[in-house]
Amino acid sequence: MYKLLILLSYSTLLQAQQVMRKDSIERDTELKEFRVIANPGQKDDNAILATEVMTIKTLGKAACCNLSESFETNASVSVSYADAVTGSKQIQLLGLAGTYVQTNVENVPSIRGLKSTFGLNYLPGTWIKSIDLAKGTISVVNGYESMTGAINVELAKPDTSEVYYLNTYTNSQGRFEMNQQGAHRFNSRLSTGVFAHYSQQAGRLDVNKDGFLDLPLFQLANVLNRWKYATDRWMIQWGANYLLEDRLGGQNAIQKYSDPFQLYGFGSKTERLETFAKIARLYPEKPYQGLALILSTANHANDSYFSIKKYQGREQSIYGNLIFQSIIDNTNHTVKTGASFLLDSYQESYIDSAYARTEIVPGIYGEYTWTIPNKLTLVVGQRVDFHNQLGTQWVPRLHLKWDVATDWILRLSVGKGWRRVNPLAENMGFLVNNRSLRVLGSLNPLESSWNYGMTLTKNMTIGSRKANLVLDFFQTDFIHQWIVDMEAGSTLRMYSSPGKSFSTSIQGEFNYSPFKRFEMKVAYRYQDVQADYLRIDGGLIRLSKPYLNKDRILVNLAYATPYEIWKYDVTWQWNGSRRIPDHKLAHLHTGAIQEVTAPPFSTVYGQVTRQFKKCELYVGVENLFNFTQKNPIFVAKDPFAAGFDASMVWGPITGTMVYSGIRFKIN
Amino acid sequence: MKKILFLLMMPLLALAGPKETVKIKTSAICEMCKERIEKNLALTKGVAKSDLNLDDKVITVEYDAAKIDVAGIRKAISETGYDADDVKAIAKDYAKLPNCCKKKD
Repeated sequence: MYKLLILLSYSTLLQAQQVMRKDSIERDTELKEFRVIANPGQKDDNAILATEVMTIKTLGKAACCNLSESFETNASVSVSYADAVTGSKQIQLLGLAGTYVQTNVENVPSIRGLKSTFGLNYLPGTWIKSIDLAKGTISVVNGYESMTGAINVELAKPDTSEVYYLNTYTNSQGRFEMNQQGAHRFNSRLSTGVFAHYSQQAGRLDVNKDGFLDLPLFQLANVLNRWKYATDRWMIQWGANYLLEDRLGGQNAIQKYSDPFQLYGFGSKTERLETFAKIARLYPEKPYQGLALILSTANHANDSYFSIKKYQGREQSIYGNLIFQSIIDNTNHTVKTGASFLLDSYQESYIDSAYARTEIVPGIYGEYTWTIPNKLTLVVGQRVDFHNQLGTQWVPRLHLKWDVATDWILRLSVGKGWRRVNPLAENMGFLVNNRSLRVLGSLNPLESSWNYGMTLTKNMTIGSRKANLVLDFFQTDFIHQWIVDMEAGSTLRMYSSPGKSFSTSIQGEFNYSPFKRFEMKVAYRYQDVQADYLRIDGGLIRLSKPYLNKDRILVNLAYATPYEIWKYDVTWQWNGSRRIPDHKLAHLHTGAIQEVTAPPFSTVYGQVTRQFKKCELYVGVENLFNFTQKNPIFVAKDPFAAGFDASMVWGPITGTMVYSGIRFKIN
Repeated sequence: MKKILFLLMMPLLALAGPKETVKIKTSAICEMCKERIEKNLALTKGVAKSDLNLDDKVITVEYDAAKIDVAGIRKAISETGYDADDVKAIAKDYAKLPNCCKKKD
């Protein structure tokens, strides 16, 4: 096995040298696919930033339907339901909301703007080839929005994909999915791929008997067509993605045209069209040089209602990024510089108010990388963006990778990040209640923060088997933040952070392969997130972030028989107790509060996969211990009365679920 | 833990029957070829075990004669993209091999 790995990494090296000639964007991704094979813990040891890489192999451990379900075996990212009605899933990194994580698809900003509501549910798992997760701020080349981290998803490429790939998935909760993918190579240069996804939640499920559907019904269709043209001098990729989704949730008997005054309903229709193009100019005689242009457009339309409250959102967006890469004197000094442009136009309405805005954000950046081979890499980045509403924003970032000693790697990062809030689209889950929405004070829609991080990686051998230990510490200090305050029982208040807001995250992860084809991961994470909230009397009170557990343990065991004919995978997650806002209507949030907490709970996921010549069958279970939050909806019996609240969710709403599926491939 | 793993592997062991052994000369070149051929045979019904010796490129296959014959094994190897004794590699499958597994012309 190891012989093979050595051989593989040698051939990787040769390939890597060829690939180096391609532009940096391509290079990064093509290299990573190989590194992981020789690296049990899926840590990218060559990356300057602490990067976790999830490949098809990792993702296959828990058959994930979409991006939101891809993190079950990952220790850093938590996935939470925002509420008990809409079914929208959000991720958390460093204890902070997923909106502070820059989510890119192949280096094109993807889940942002109005897409942030359901964006994670929109990327089908079978399209995903790998996911890179970086904590802390990332390279300035990718923009200014990575405040706590960044996710970059690489999709299947048309020139390396199967000729035909069929995937189906069915679960015991009445969900069905089908993915069909086809790829065609016209010649050595031109190839195309068509990816089609359809999924449906058909079963009406109310296991907790609260009169509300535990999962919203939905139908989602998503089609992507992409093209790739590659020569020695040019690498061009372009494509278009169209998706249509219809959601319906609320009380059990809800129908599309139910009387909104009789039955509480939630409906949401989304239509989105994205296009992208990536053009890279390569210089075969100067492999260190490259010029790349990334372009993308998005058109998003959403119509939603929460009982009688109607929301409508429209967004048109154009993004461009021109990157030039070269060296100073020799390859130990590389420089990336470029300019980006974002035009984002929003038209939103909620109940009887309308909001419209157009953001125009041109920006320039430069990044210098100094390398002392096998010793030290230092990256200094600067960018300046000129936002038409928020003014000029400066983003400095610094990354350091130091190979302290053999098998010891230390990474440091310091950087600033910022973004513009989309108050409604990002907080849709908080609208599923009868709280009155109150926006306080003069609003600053700017959020910005400093992030400091340190990661220590130790590779070792225990016996003759490989292991690694990763310890990390990340601190995020907000300069400006938009606070969503649910601390008073009857209102939902939004205001600019009146005081301090910070997050501290410490994580330890141990990966070990005690015997052949058996891998284990044990991780512990501690998160301390606090912010100053406004009391009713105008004073400040510092509270820990609600719904967030301080402690989390994750254990993942994976075993495969020779040639991976059978694969077994089990993940156990333990989530510590967490503070939840006091829901009593009369609760005035004065400071003398009795803390209300939710109990700790654990969830277990398991899966068995059997491989055949042309296909794979998998059977799995989620939430094996059948743990659910008992009453996820307050005053569920009378959703039109004061006190009705489906937004106070801290745990799983649905219990044990069994699923099975097939992956059929023709090469 | 090992006990549980053993139990989970039962479905594989239950397939065992009387075994026969055959040696087949292949056109394998490197470790990747070895892995590829052995994996494909492992997924072929009736094949219990296989081991390719890269020095003489001969693969030793243990199989269940009730489920597969030697011709079937050669066919499986040719479908992987390699020659098996006098059975030539299927051109379409050979074309899909990584560069290092192709014969140097």
